[in-house]
Amino acid sequence: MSTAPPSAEPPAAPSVWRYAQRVAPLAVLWAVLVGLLVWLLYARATWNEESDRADVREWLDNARVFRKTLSELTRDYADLLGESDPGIDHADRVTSKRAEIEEHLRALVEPTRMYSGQLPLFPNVYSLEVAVPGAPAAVAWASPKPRPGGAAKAQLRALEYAVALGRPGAPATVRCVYQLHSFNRAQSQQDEYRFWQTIAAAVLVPTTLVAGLLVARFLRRERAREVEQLRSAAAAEHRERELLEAQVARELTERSLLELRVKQQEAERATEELGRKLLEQELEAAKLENRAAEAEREALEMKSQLYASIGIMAGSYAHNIKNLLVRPNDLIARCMESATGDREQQGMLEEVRATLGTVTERLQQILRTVRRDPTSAEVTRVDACALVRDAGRAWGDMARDKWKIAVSAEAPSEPALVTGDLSHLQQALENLIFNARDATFEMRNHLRDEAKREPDPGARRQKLLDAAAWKGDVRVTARRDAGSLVLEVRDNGIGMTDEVRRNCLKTHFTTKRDNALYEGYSAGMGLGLSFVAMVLEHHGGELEIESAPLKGTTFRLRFPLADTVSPAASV
Amino acid sequence: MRLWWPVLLLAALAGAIVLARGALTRAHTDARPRPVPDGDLEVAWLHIPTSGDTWENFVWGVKRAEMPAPGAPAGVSVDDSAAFPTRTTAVPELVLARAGFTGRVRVRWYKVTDDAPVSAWVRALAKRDPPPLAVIGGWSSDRARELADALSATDWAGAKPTLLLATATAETVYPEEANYAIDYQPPKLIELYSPAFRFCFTNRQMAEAVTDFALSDPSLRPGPAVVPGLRAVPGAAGGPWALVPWLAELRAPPSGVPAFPDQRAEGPGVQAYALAWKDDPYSLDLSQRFRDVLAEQGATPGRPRLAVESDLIPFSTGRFARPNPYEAQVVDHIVANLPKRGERTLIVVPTVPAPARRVLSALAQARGTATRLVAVTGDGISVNTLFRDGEFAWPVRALPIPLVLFTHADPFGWDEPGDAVPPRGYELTPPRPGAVKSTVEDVHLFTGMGRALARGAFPDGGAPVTGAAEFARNLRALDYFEPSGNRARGSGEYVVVVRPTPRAEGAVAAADAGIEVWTRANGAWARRHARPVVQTIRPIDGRAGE
Repeated sequence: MSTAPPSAEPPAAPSVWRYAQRVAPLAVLWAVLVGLLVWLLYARATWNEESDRADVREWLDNARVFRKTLSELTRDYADLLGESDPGIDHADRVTSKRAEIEEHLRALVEPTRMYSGQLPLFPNVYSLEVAVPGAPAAVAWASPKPRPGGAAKAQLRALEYAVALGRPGAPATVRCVYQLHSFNRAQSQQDEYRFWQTIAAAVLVPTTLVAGLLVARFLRRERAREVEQLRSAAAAEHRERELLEAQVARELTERSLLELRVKQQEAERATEELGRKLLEQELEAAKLENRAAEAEREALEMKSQLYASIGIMAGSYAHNIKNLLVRPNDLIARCMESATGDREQQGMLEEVRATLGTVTERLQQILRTVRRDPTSAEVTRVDACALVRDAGRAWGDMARDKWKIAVSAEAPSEPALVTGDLSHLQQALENLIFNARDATFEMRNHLRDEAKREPDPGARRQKLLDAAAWKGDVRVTARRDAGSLVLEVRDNGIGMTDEVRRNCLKTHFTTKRDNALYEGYSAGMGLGLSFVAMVLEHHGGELEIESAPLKGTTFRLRFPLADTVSPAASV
Repeated sequence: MRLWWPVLLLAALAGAIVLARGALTRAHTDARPRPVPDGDLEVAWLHIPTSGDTWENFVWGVKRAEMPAPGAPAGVSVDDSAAFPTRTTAVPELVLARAGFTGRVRVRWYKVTDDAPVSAWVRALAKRDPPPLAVIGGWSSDRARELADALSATDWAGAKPTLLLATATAETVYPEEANYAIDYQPPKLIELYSPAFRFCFTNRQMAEAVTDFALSDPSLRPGPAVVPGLRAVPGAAGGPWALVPWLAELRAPPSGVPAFPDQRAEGPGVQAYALAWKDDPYSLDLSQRFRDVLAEQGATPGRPRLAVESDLIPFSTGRFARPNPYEAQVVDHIVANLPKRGERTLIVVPTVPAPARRVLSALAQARGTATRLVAVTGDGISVNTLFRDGEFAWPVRALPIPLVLFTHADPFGWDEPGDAVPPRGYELTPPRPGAVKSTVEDVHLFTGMGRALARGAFPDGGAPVTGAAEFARNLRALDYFEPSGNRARGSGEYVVVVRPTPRAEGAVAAADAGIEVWTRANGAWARRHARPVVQTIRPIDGRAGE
């Protein structure tokens, strides 16, 4: 849509001929106008004289002495002279007609002579002649008054005009010599007018010429200026047009944007609709999840009840088996006592007794396990330091060999007695150790994942090596603190967020459910810490948790020492 | 700049075309009738440009047609707003209408000039649609013939317009070149064109009236003068000059009875003279009518028998008072053959004022002619010439010969108390006694013409006419005209007589003459008006007139 700006070609310089050709019409027109003006002025200047002549002509033409004018009588006379069949009285008729014209002429001039002093505008007529072709002589009237002589001759005027005879040939001629003798005020005015008109013409003609030249010059300059203005205007118009085009393009763009916005809004509305539907779906899903969680919780409760039932049943079985093993053990003891010295037999009996002892121990453990219901405690005085040392011994080897972590126990040598259920305390401590173990697993796994995400192979390798070199460390300590026993389980594992830390004591809350890392371990039920919390509650203990993500966790259990606790306050 | 030359050429060409068209238009379109509005009719009034007095009298007369009068159409209205335009080249127009009729009649004065003669106007009127309803013209008999010939020679698309002759009185018209051939039978003017109507009386009717009056008046009749000495008595005594005709009438016998034995009754009769100007058909015709009537009435018992000599004068052109050569020749002949003292005879001067003035003034220069000659004429000499303009146009001291002339209406018929109220501005107020004023015979004639126009265009009980044929039929039904189209006899002939006061040695006459208006009433002439003519003002009078 863009147009090219007007070309600013410089006008070609006109040649002299071209210039003259262009100016010539104007000059001709000017000359015609000046001529017309001069003619009009001249006619105006001689108007009185022309008017006088016209008046005299009118008088001669239209005066009717009887019924006919001089022209009609002249035509009659000419017709009479030209008759083809004259007749015998032709000469008399010619004479009569001639006499009639003579009488007409005399009658015409009679008032001018009679009233010349009374009517100053009447002319002094000195002669009247009617010359008719074919006539022997002109019909004439001559004034008896002598014509002016000398310089007065200049006042004489002669009017001569033709009278059409209505037939081919020369016309008749009427000639009148007259003098306007009166004082005509208009003549003086006319003289004055002629004087001033001469001056005016002498001034006006060259003035108009100069004015014409000035006007031409002015017009030329004006034209150049107008051309320049036109060019500027064209350029401005061009710019304006471009601006308009840009504006149009911008408006088109804005329009497109608006359309896009409309579409976007429509899309947003559709998105919102979709989101609303998603929310509804999510709400529905949440409802489903709630129902699933409820179902899971119910399943877990059922599972827990199942486990409890199994424990009860397993305890019953283990108790029965243990009871059943009493006799074999007794028998073995008797056999061994009664054994004869057969070494091989002795050895075999020893092995059986050991095996029975192991089985018994295992059953004992099973019984201890299944009897760990916090609500059904067997309150005794428990040496917490021994408990810590036993746990270290019990889980140290396994931790080193199987879990690949370090589990250490540290407790004072002197006993620190607390009132409580041993199995519950053992179980609570084991639960804390197991949680610490799991936290180190997650920390190691985290380090590995971090190392794997390292883009730099060298750094990744180093990080992998560091991760491999990293070792979980679980420390179990017991110490006295005023009247309390502080039992601490510290690890360098993954740590807990604040949210996890706030909820970790809730029943069935777990971070290990559906985690492949704990596949094969009895973890993920969400019962361990809740059991610990219940044990603490039943033992009058307190729990402090210090933890941060990737900073490890410290569970600090505070029990009142038994020697400081009144028996009435013990459980 | 490239367009300069073509523009200049076009401008020059346009100017040339305009100039050429102007020249052609000027040459050929001087006779340009005006268009006629739908539903209107036009009457063309053709006359020369110097006839402003006639047009004024015409407007005056037609305007007075609004006045109620016995037999006059009622409800006529005349619009004169365009009758007197300021420009002399404009076409004056008078518009007639009548209550109960649609359309109007527009009377327009088309001026006959040397450039636009009658024939040109007639041709132009025939080309225009519609043609005129009528043409008013023929103010003199020769012009009437010219107009009638032009109308007859023109092809009219529809009905021919009606020719209305106003004051052309000739019965017949002679062509100038053969007007004195013995065996020539000139055509009748009223038959040159049909339809034509004449509102004036004919020469024959005028000659009959004037001759009858002159032969019946004891103081004018040819033959022995009636107590000629009585005329000198009032002049000598300076007494009431009006007693003169009364005394003369007392002395005169009853009508038809000769007062004195006519010694020439049985002889060849009294020598009378009938002049005729050959360039004037009116003069030729009227002279012939006078001769005919004089011969007829001379044969009537009790009327003087006249031997009328016809004297032809070749032309009427001449100066104010001096006769032209041929007039002088005739005057010499008459002076040489005057009646003997104590007798008088008639001299027929059927012409206009100037030739009559020249001839009579030349005759008056001869001793005794004032008492031995009575001049009779028709309507060529108007009453205004004698009454209004008499001090220069008819100086009775220089023209002491009694003159009897004819008018088509009462010249002194000014408004009188008890008459119908005239339109405002068109009153005919009489002059005070002794004063002079325009006479009104033309106004009355044109009033009759206006009423006839109204009745012809808007007939009583009918619809307005649609063409000239219907208009002519309506006019023919009026009792104003004879079947021939001439004006009916006995419908208003007036005779005017000028009686110069005889001058006697030692006597001073207050009035230079007396002027009387006579008309027929019950078969006899009755004097309607008598006014003194006072042309000589004396210091002792102190006032003009009486």
